[in-house]
Amino acid sequence: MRHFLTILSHEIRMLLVNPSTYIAGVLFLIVMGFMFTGMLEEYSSAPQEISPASYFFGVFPLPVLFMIPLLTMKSISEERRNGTLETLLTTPVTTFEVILGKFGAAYFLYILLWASTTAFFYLLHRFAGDFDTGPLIGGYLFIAVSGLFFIATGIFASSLSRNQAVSGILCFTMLFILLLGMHFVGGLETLKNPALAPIKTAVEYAQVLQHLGDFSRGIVDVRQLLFYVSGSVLCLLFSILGVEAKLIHS
Amino acid sequence: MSFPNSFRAARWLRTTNLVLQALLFLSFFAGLNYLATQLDFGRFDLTRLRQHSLSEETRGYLDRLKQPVRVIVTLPEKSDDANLTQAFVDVSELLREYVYATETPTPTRPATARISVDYIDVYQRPADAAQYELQKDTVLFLSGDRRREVSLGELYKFKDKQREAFLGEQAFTAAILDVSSTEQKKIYFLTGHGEADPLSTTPRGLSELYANLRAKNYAINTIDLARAGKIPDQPGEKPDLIISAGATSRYEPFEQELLRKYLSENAGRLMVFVGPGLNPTGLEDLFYDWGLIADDVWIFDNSPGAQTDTGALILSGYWPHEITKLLIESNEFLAFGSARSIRPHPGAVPDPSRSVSKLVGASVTAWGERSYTRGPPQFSPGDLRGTKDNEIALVAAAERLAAKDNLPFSVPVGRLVAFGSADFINNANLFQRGNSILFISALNWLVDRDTQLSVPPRKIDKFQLSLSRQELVRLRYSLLFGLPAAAAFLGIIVYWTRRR
Repeated sequence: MRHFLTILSHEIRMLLVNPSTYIAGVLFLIVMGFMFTGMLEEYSSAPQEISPASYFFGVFPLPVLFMIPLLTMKSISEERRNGTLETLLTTPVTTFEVILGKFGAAYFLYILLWASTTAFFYLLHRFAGDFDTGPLIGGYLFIAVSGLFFIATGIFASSLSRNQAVSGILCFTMLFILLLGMHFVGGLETLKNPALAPIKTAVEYAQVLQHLGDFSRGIVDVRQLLFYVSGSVLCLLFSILGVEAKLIHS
Repeated sequence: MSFPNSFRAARWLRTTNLVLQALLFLSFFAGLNYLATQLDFGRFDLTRLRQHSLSEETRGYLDRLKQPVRVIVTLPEKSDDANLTQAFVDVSELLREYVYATETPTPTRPATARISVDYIDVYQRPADAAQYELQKDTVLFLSGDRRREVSLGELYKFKDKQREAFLGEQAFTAAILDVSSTEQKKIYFLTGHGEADPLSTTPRGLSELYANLRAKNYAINTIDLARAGKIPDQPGEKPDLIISAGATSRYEPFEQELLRKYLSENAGRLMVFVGPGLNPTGLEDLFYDWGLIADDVWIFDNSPGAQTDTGALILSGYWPHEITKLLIESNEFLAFGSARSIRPHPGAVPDPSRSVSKLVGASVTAWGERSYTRGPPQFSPGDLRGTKDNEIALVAAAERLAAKDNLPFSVPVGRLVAFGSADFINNANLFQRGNSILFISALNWLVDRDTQLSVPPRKIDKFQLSLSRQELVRLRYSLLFGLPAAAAFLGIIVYWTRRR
């Protein structure tokens, strides 16, 4: 773990000095701002029962599906394509430290981008006054915790291919299955068969959109937190095993 | 070099090792999350008023749940009606809390005693709809062979036709208690005097009402007091409510005495629907004992807008009472067919333990025709007439209270609701306007249903931006351009610094 912070600080520094990071940030803020202004139109035209936070976090899957692959697709793929991963691993650095460093940097940027949207709510508070902060805290907590899992999924996808585009598409597919596929599978009539009850339970347990619904209402379920944390650990471990498998066979 | 000592063998050995590690991690992940589903790790409500948490009372009941309860929701997830869509959201979110609360077994609740929820579209799944006799836009609770439906109207409290509070938790907890308890409330319909038949599907029949009561988990029986000679008093047979629905011939004195004793000595509950034209009713002494009088009049009202196109009386004057609360909140009127006056008896012997309440009144232009058998209706001196402050009452309730075991509060020892019309609950009229609301509210009050719960309603908060056009434009530009510009500015500074 000695070298983890070295790798992490280097990765973050590279991110912060890279113009594409700022371009991504500007585009992200424009898209989210556009969605937020659409929400404001709704709230100014008629009273709404749904809190602003719940409304805002309802669009969560859309930016995540595109943002995570873009943030993570080059993390391991690029190192492997350039042949720098093997070089890096000849130094006294473990695969675990490399993966964790890449993951930490991508997660840092992810959180930074989402944290910038808190300014929307600050402005809303300034202009429109008080509202319940419970759903707001819950929503951002969900973003932080689920981000661990999603970023780890992206890192895992990146560890599977040398090609950035393939890694990105793979990550998008995995996230799509996780976010929307589970929701679709959960509604299948086939799962109502009593023999498939354990599968139904597992699918219901992994309903990301339902978790989002809970958190954005201000409800924090510790089991859901555990699901995301353990999921992120599993994906990171798979990434390590994936990289090591590639090294063995390279 | 032999194969076991070769690099290739070492490579495959290490690969196998990695695959096994992957399987180990995967099983660890699955096992950990499986354990999480079996243990109560906690669920915290961060909202200001903990508005998504179940009340302690509900939690207490759920902790003592003894058998599984299945909930079937037939509300549509998406609808053109915004109220229906919102109702789906409110109901599904609340039911999720019930499901969570029963997911992990407790010392007092077996592992099988869980609440499960299914969402069924009655149009897409007609077989299921037929199997469970599902109505649209309802929430059905099933446990064993017991069922109770909660309709959309029971879920909200209205004020000025706007939803003011969500009553879902109270309704659902009551329904769960109802279907999971071994006791079923019994209703006896009186027969033998030309009363409306609960099983008849004719317009004058009560099959709609019967189905509604069965859906609400009541056991329905009929009884002819003249033949039975007594009102059942054995546990499991004792009526929780007796209904006399539109008798066309008078009750015998001994039948009246049976009903009087049932009310006074057995804390009985009686619902009487007595339309005009029957005089005497045979229940005069009973009514007098309970401080009521059923006038031998026929209510007419010839002012414009006082009648529906079918000639039914439109009634919208309500006195405040638990029974009329929902009608007042929803601002719904009633449509009665032929009606007579039921009002507090002006000559009743004062009784401090008895309270009599008028519930529904006719408009000030209505009158009670005494000579209704002779000629066309026309107000004449001697007819009953209401005033602006004292309208003619058509529905009244009476109850007797008694102190219990030196406790500082009183408990009801008998309740009676008398309606001056029997038409409004028949198949042709039950679902006209607020008729069913009045009946169900009276029923709930009579049998104390759901009133033992003190689950507070959830106030519906609405958020609206009260910004001027100018402020809204400023806010929009701040969001769309201000923040991205700040990020771009930061990027340019970094870029410029790096170039130098």
